[in-house]
Amino acid sequence: MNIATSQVTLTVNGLTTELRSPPATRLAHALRDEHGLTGTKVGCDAGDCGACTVLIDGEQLCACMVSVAQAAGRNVVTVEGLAKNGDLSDLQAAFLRHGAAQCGICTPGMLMAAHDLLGKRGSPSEQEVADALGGVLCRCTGYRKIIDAILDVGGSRRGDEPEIGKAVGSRVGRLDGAPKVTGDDVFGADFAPPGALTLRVIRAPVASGRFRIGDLGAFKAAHPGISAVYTADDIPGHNAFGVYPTGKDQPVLADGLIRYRGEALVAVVGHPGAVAALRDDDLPLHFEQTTPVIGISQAAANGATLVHADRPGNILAEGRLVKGDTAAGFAMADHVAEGAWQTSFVEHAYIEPEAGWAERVGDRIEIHVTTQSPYMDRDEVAHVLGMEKEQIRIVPTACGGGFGGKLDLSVQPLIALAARDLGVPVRCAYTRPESMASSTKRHPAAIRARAGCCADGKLLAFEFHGDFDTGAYASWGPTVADRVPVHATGPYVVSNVKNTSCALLTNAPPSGAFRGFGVPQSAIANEALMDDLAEMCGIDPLDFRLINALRKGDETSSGQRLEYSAGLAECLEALRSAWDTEREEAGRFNAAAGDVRRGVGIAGMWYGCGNTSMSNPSTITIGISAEGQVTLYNGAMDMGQGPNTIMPQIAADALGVPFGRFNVVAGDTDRTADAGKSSASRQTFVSGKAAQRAGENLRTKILRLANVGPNAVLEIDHGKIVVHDGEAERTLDLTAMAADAEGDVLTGKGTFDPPTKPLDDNGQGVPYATYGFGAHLAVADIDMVLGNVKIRRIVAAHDVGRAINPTFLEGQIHGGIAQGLGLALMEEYIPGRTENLHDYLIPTFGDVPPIDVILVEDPEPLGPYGAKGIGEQALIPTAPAIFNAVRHATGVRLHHAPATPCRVRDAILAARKSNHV
Amino acid sequence: MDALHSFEVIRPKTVDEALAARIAHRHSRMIGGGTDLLVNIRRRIETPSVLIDTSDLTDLKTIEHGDTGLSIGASVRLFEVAEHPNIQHFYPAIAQAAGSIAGPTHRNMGTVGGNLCLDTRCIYYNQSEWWREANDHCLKTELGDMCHVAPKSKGVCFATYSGDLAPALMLFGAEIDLLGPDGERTVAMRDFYIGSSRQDGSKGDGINYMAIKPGEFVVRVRASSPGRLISGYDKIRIRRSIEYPVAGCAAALTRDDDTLTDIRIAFTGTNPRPVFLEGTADLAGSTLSDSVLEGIDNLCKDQLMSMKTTFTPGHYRRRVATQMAKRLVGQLFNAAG
Repeated sequence: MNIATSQVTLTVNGLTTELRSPPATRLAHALRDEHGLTGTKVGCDAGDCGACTVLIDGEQLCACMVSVAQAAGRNVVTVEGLAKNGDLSDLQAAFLRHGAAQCGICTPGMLMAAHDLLGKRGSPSEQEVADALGGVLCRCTGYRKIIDAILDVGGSRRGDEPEIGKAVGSRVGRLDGAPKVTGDDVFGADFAPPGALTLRVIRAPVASGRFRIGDLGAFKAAHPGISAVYTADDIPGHNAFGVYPTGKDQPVLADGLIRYRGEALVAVVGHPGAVAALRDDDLPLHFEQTTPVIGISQAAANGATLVHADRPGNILAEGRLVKGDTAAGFAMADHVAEGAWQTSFVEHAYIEPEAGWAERVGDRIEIHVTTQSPYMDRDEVAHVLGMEKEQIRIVPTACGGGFGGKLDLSVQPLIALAARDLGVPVRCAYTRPESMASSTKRHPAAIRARAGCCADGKLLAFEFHGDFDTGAYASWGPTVADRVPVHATGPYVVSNVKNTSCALLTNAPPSGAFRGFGVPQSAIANEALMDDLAEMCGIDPLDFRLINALRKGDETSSGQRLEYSAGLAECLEALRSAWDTEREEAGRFNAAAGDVRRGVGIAGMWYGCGNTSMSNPSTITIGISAEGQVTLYNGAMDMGQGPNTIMPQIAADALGVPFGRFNVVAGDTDRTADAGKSSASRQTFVSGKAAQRAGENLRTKILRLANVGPNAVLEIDHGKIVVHDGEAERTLDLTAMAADAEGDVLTGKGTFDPPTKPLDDNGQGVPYATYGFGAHLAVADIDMVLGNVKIRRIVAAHDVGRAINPTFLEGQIHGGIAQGLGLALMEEYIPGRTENLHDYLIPTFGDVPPIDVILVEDPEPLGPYGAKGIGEQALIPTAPAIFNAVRHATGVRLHHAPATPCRVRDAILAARKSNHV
Repeated sequence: MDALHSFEVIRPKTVDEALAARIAHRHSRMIGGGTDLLVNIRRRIETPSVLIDTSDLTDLKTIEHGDTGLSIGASVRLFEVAEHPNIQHFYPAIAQAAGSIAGPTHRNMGTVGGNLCLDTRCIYYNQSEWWREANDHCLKTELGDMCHVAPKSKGVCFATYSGDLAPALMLFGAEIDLLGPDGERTVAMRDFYIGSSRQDGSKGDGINYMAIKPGEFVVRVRASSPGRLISGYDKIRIRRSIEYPVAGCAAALTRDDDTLTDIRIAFTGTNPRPVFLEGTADLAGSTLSDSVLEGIDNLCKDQLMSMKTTFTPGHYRRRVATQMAKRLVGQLFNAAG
């Protein structure tokens, strides 16, 4: 059989199907592009992520590694083939029930791999699940709930259906969950209108230098499929973007100057085939390379080349917090510990690369894009295009993971520019190498810190300086510089503090927002010092933290008195029983004196919810239609963490109707109010409060219309609301009321802006209205010969104020731990080197150990029903707990993240040399 | 960036058809699972005009085990090797090696022939075209003439061989059956991998790493009967799956009372070839003592050569490969006691 012509026949989901794509097309693309089977996702196109896993002749395979010609005659099943006649399979239902799908981008691949396993082993063990699904990466869930779902595939399908007033606290499934398990959810690359042109960005191959554009006319003449080529000169508004009003320093398309490898230079738009066939060197670009500024020490060196001429010393931003007198504090201290730490660039590695499409509608531009900040996107695109904000509409697609990386613009301004210029829809999806080269990263840190305490363990003084490599552009660098001094002392009471930070510009990809904004890095230093001091004092590390824990009534290092919701001590106490048994067990294990040693480490955490000393309001609206449909217009972007479900849970109780009544309109800037960005662990706390107020506002209106008391019970029915107040019963006829543009006849609105106070020159003030607290315990086995570290168990206790949805909270904590484990042990992005997901290692199925989650509820009066945030809190204590576990096992202090086997082994050998072990 | 160059796919039903296609298309490549080749094609590392898909070659899909040894067809997939009861029982190193490769999707797709011929790897090579262009390419590709790993290498390439199966098979004196325009021939595995990367260029390197002639392809691999050899495979990796070995080690030995009577060790992930450690015969004849372990150390020092071809430093790969070998030998010796 020779397959050179463009037609093959195969079976797809039971139907005989013809594919006409050229034989060299990969099956994943043919299924998506020819048959709209976009449930099969493309995350890496190289067999590294497994998002495109399908069944071929009954076995799980990556559809990105099979050409159409090889698939001829085969039997292919995609995720779309799992549900029968609209009924979810047991496996799909179990995924929903257990919260196994967060953002949903890996879910189809996970389902197909699980389907393969369950076909072979009816009741698999946990180990068999981990082995069989080891080819699919997930960045959200930490894999634990996927295991739970597969082990419970035959379980009861009945989910939580809370009665009125009981939605908060219940384990309801995702309101937007079904499309995530059927493959119907539409992500950034999954749709564009017929006839859409494709945009591709040509990127800088050098880290610094200049470039010149040659004869574009000749290029276009030679490439008839190319409709347009855009350069810096074509940007109609401001060719500068950035999340800070004072930090709009990144060009949409570089204007002759290159500041990092991967920077956007030119955008080419044309027919998909013509764009795909284009090679970078087809374009008349001429480069002149200069010596780049690499790393913190080069950037800070005297006479260093300036990355931006207007930023002397390459300093983007500095942060400072001074309280008391550290010199006096250290003078009084019985014990002083100090050290230096270093961390690396960390890639967000969301499984969905940046993607979207745009079209011109009248004099407006509509942009459908994967994002975690639709309103900021709108404002920034307007700024770039020189248009009014109201002329831009952002319609978020499903977001396949963000973690901070989708707060900055990516495809948005370019597809908007092209769609406006050409008058046809234009789409763009980054490849994995492109995403990794161009997107923001976690800031690498170089930290020096010291801490002093009394003989009884009470902390007296703390000093910290962190330099952060902020890359080529501002992005969220100022936030890191702000947040770090506030948090660097850790969740402990210290009277004499001096914390400083500096964000330095280099010729690396911009460092931006990544789950924790510098705090995960600083926690590594801080929590190592706590263990050092505990050892010097001869105090148990858990007790040492309890002695110093911030509690209600204590003052933080920024001088803020905590009045409510400071549950660190409860979290630490919650770990005690595991701490005692695991330490004892480790002692027994190590008595055997084998090559592997076991250690148990602990670390505390705190993290302020919302922006630092900055207004960050959210508004949520709710409507009831004449038919009695309740809709929550949710501007709080759901990237898997759950606002599309959590906001209705909160609003349902505030309004006094069943959760099941709600549907959600998500993110659309024309239809929702601004609920800020999904970052800074703010959505549950800030937008959640707005949702509560919106529900209360609507309830008040209904009660007033019905003229009944506050305890009345609402019964929404088709076309009417029946209001019961004791004996009285009133009926509101919804059909008689005037409807707004959404078709709603009754609406409620709520806004919340968490109260903060500015920080003075010494960093004193009220930076956040509330803080999340928590502590992790890690049990680790360290191979003393090879240097590899295997995490056996994590116990995580978090004060969440109030658990709105325990399943989602566990999911956030699992996922945060997985990313913290990656930060600690394996994740290291090297600019100019790392560009794919097999050199950049994120934890796989077998790397995330069993996790015990303990939810502590110390209510925050400002939050919705007492709730506060969890997104970033979940990640922060993991890496320090792991490092402390390694130290407990080996006596070796780790100073460099990630602690790869090579670094651990080198540290063990170095310590042996100096007789420390 | 995404589009593959256009190529033709031929799916022969028989080995004869495959050979005919191979002869008819001089620039063809054989493709098994494609987990290595298609990824390299996407990166334009190579652009063959014809792919000969081996997935319908039923003659090459058999595993035969008997008194004389083991024979595995080139189109047998990796998971079949890992799960085969006789291989697990008689050749545990081979089953363990197969079961440790990448992830389950890759083991379902990848074939024995493909894994044996796995292209050597280097951080300057297994990257996108854009990346390689930006780094002036390297001598393993047609467009480059410089080795970034060893700039003074004078045209010698140090890309690392990372296949897991080869070292395990080498323990059992495996031979590879090749078929080509000149007929069938058999090559001992130790002679098949020629990536010595010697400065005098006398043998192969990371570019020419297999003793394979134009038009030839692997039809099967045969291993001798294990006799009383007990064997095992271990590898170090940074995460549990979807990762090439940082270093891998296969070992086999026989023990009579307290005497180590045979000892064989082979490595992957260190050199431009799988390394069958030469000289271990001299270590047999006594019990497993410190001097035997020291002997392994010394042989490894001479024969393992790990360069900066991966994200993990070479000195580490070389040392832990050695440590793994000593540990594995110790475990096998104890298990045999």
